Amino acid sequence: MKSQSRRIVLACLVLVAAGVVRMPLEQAMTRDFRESGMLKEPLALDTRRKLGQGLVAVSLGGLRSLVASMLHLRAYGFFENRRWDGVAETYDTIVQLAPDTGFYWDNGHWMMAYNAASHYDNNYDNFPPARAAAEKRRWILKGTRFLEEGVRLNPDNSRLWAELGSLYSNRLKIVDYDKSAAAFARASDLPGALPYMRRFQAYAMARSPALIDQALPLVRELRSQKGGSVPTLVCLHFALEVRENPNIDPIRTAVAIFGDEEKAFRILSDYYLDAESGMPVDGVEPALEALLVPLRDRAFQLARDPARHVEALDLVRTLHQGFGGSSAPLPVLRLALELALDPSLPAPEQMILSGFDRPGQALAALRAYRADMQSGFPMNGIDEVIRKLELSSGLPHEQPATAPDPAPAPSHR
Amino acid sequence: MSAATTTAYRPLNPRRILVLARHTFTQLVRMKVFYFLAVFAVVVIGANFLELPTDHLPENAGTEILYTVKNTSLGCMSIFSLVLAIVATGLLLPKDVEDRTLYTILAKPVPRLDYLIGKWLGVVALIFVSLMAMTLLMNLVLIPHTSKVMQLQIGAAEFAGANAETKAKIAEDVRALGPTWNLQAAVLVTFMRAMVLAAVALLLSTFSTSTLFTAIVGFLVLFIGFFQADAREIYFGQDSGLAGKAASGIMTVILPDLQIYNLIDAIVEGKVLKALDLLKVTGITAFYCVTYLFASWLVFARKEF
Repeated sequence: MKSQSRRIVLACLVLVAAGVVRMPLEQAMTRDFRESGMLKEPLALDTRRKLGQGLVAVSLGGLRSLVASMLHLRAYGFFENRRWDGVAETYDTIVQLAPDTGFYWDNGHWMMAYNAASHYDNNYDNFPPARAAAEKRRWILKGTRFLEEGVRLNPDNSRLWAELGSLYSNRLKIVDYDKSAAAFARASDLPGALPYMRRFQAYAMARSPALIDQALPLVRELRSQKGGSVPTLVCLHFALEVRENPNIDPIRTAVAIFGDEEKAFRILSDYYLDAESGMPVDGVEPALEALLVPLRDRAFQLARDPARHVEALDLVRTLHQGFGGSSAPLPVLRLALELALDPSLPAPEQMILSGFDRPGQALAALRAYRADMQSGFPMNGIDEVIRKLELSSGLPHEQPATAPDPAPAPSHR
Repeated sequence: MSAATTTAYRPLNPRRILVLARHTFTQLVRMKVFYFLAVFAVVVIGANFLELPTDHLPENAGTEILYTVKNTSLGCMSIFSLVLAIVATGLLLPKDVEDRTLYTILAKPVPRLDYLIGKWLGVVALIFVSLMAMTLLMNLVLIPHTSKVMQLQIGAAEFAGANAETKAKIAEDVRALGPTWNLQAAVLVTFMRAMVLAAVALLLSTFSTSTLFTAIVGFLVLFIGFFQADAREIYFGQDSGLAGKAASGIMTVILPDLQIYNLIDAIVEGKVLKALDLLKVTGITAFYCVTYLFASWLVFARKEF
């Protein structure tokens, strides 16, 4: 028995001696692993408190990522119930557990800056408008700060930088084009960056008063690369070229950049009509006005030739949907061409009404079109549409002219 | 004593240890331990369906499910291996005493060191086989998911006009989240942690009188092991008092540091475990195992039953 006690003491001494030998080794290993990011720092007391005893125990055992996954499910539950504080608190804890997983930073900021902010933007809680607006702003800021912390801890994550760039240039959030351009620039410089990130950097620069002067060289460079024919980029190129050389001929420049007049008109129209984009529009309006005239003439010429109605309709559609598209006679000419090519077109009167504020305006445009007998445009079904509109709107009936008016409406040529 | 008898009594005989290990393995298999694999399969297959609506930009598509499958699989493996290491090892000696098997074995020319190592290796082999089966299942689930995510993300990159270099980087990133060698290293680290804990449980069972005591103390060691790095910080810290230094010092020198094995978290996140780091962990594991097995033998060598 005495011998056994002696052996137990000896065993303890062996353990202590081995412990003394390994302690500095373990300390060095732990330090190295922490420095290289292979081991995480101990959890903050606040995080331990939030996790509760059970999850702390699990997270201690090298299962932090498992706890993070479980909390991700919990956060989704909060999201479904629109408990945004719960969502934010859970994601704060998740990123404490798995700070290197970009996915959680990405998803957390999306929950806060997009979902929670959108909840208050739609004011589902029926708050007074000022309070709803303040809440929306608070959640956008919270999501932005969250993502900023994410990129601080994961500076090599291209996608997080791109998300930050998108957030800063989102018109529904708190816009800061300078920061957006910087974030996209950082995203583009990292391995695995997608080409759109550099393009978005150019868009942000073009919208920033401080950076717009530096945008043209980047845009020129992007235009020569793969993906350089993206419509917004091409339009931006045009606007920046005109901005740089205000005296250049807009039509020649547009044709040189876009390839042909119709394409230039169509793409520039979309660009110009997106008024909230904040993109520079130098020279775009004059170019569109200049492009519109020859295109209209061509459309009218084609419309007079029944054999070329298909071509005419394509061009008229482009003009109708684009800059100055609501001017007479384009809406009615489009309807007439549609009816000429497809007499069974359903609800043509609805089609024409959609282009005008009031039925009276639509009716006046239709009557003026019909009255211009010299135009040579197709008249298929126009009388029928006029009759239906008169019936449905209760406006007085007007006999169609059987002969040219003594003072006809000016020809659209 | 003849030369043959001397050889027979010489400890660390591999054949003898192997026989004991095989017997222990069979003994544990008969306890229906592998039923756990069915539970594991259900958990891993269930994890397949935990795909929640997320901020799904096409270029980020599908990564969540890869994390979920890896997390749940490695979590199950960790829990299973740790519980088995403590409970199975703690069970063996009392069971052998209860069944009188121990007396039969020790009455033969079997050195007690061989007996202990054989028992420990039997448990370790069982954990190894179980982990291999679980790893296989995890990989089988991860492989199709990884190729699906790869297809989605490369498709999105192609649509966005990405060049070959970018696509290669995306493919590399997705592959890092799939069934890589690195992930298998995480399983190896899990296994090594279980080996250490089994050695500690064996030491405990040499002087404990019941399985329950070994299990409770084993789990306490496990829990304290996760705080070892913090305890060392206190020991080496400038501001610590004498009592704090003494308590943390005792804890640190006697018990293993299980936090070192928490590399699994970083591996799940896609970080690469360097060969040198794996070698360091293997080295410290070997040191722990030899130390605790030797201490077990010191206690067990002259123990009377």
